[in-house]
Amino acid sequence: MPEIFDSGDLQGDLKTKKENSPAKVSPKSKKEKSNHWHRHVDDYSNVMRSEKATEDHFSWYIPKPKRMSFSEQEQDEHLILVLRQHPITQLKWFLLAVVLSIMPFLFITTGMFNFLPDRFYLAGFIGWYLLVAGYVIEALLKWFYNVYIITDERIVDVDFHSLLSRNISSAKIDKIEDVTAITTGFLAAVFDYGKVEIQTAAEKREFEFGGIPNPNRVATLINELLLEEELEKVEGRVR
Amino acid sequence: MINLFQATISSQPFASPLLASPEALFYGFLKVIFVVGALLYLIFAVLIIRQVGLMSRTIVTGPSALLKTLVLAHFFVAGVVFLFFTFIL
Repeated sequence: MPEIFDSGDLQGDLKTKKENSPAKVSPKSKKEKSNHWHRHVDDYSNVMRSEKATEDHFSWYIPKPKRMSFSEQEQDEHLILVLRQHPITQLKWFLLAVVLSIMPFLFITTGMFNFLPDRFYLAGFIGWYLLVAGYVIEALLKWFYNVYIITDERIVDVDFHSLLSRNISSAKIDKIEDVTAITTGFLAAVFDYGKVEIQTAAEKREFEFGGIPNPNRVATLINELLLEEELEKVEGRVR
Repeated sequence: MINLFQATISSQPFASPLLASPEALFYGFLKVIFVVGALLYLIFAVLIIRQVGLMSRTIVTGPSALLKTLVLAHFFVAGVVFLFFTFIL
């Protein structure tokens, strides 16, 4: 297994999963087997060849992420690309938070609540900014953890719709039938973000990676993975 | 009977200073709103902590520890505000 994939060195749940796995193989034989079955992504992907492995997990475009994994990841599965929505798509909640932060000062200027005693004034201020903080934290968490993952085996869409609700859908690369990159609008053209629609023959028929950076590169990468998957079948390298 | 009742009511002084004036009643009501709001917010802060737990188990990534610290600090602040609204306001 190439050294570049540190995501194989997992922590937490996956580590436990690995330890509990019934079919244990020695590290050496596992390495040999992996070399036999899978080529390194740089060997077949022009898109990934130019990308460096990264540890910047706050980014919205994370190629070959190091020290990152997800709960449903399989033993020999490697993360190739992790995507979040482009920050420009988060402008709405950010601007709303700024406006909400300014509002108490407008109330002071207009003197709307001057009839209230000071202690209630202070309490109102504190309560208001606490609400704004809660809104920002919630939006930030949603942005950070709603990710699209492309591995050498499948595409995964991790969604946290609301508090405590999680939805993880995935489709094997070989089930992908059509990939379309769409960029619409002025901001999308300037900041190079858009959506990638993926039609599959899997249970979930359509995936949409919305608001992601570099949609054309992502679509190209998926097509390269699809080709590699076909090649694996032809050469008998299918797991 | 009715006269007796009315006499009783009118002769009784107000039991609480809160009811002594409409102003005090209004501020009392306002305080209850603040306290209930802070309590609901505290519950929301607990839910966020649980949410981050679930999220960080789903996506294992470096900054999760930082985000956990952030939401714990948020919960702590929410707790302090609740106490402030309850006992000092």
